[in-house]
Amino acid sequence: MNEKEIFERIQKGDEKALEFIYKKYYRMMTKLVITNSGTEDEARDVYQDALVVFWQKARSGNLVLTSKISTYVYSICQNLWRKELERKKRLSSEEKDTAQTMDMDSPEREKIIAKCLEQLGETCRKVLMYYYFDEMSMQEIADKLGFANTDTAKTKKYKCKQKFDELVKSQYSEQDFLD
Amino acid sequence: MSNFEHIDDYLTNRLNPQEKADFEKQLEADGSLRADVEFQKLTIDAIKHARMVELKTMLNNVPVGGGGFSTGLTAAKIAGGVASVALIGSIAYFSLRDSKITESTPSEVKTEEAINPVNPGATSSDTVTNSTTVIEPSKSVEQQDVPAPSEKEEVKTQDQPVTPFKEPKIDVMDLSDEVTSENKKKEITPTENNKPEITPSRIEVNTDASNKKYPFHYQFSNGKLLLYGSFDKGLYEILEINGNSHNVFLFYQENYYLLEEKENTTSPLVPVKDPVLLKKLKEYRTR
Repeated sequence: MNEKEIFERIQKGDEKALEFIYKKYYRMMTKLVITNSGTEDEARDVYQDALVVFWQKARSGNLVLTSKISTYVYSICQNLWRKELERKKRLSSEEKDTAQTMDMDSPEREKIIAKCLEQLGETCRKVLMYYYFDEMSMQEIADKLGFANTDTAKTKKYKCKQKFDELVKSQYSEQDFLD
Repeated sequence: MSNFEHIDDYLTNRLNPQEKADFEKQLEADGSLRADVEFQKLTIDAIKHARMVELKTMLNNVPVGGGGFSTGLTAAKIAGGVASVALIGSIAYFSLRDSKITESTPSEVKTEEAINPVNPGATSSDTVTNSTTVIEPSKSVEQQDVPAPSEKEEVKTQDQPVTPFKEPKIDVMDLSDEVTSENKKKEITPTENNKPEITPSRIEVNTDASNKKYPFHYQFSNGKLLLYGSFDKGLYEILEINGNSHNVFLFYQENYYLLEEKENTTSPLVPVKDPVLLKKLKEYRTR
């Protein structure tokens, strides 16, 4: 597979293409972290995170690749590892971490929400993940999952989201989340 | 549009700037709307997180070959060592064998073969082997990609006659083109004076997305760089170029921005447009 083919496959959501890249550049990418005071596990984590970012951008259709895939992914790895080193440095000097993302550190909450997602069923899960993570349009979702038209996809997404919200609320009160 | 759809479009950046501004005004005034938005944000983040975990689990199950970088390198070293020993052993064996058969040096043998007919005393197979000196130990070692300089030199200095030998089949780590090309690039050191040197940036960088006065600006303060804007949405890179002067550039969303190190002055980020400079910056970055 050449670069162009790989990229096109990823844009279409071919997870095998992502696996292909992962394997091909594994040593090169993990070397970056390992030779910069990281462990093998950290290196693997950073590389996987970088590939997920790359996947998301490619799927959203907003990415115009002007360099090799490896160059792009390498630069993501560099940024991620640099941020991680900065975070470690901050923690070691006992400064507060001012992360703005949702607090997913609570493993208990994570498990409960993951369970709620599983209860949705595969189609609902895919619709929501394609919409919110892969940023696919309703037309693309309809094509991918075999819905009749975009309205059907839109209605399905709405219902799946409502069902998911209800499941989560049934596990927690809103106040639990806003505390 | 219902509230739910409004909130959904707002959180997924599907509103146009005017709609977004109107919605944010509404948010400021309506506490229950704010609570709804917070809840939706949490559930959407959970969905994104689940998808991320799904992809990472999938990648984790991909076999990448025994233990990763460090053990791969060790295996390559061991394989290289074995190959070198086998090579030296072969050379020693054949040279010892040949020295028993003929008393002349390989160059003399070659010369003799070129000028004179085959020595009737020698066996035909030996003649053939003596005249077809094939071994190029240094090349074969390089092909195997094994760094063993002392052994290489030892092999190179040997001028004993050798017979063709089979290169040992070593299954070594197949580095990607990018690695070898990057290594080659690293080996090309600047030969000219004053050639700019690109170094990884050591400038401490902070971002601030909350300052509405400076949506896309920067400021240097006490040697630290503060970037104003939503830099969390994309990845950025700081490039420090040290040549005749020291220059700092920001690379973000496919654009380059010159950062002038003026203390405590907040300046807008203006993309570089000069095509020549852009070309240079791309080259530096991809190095």
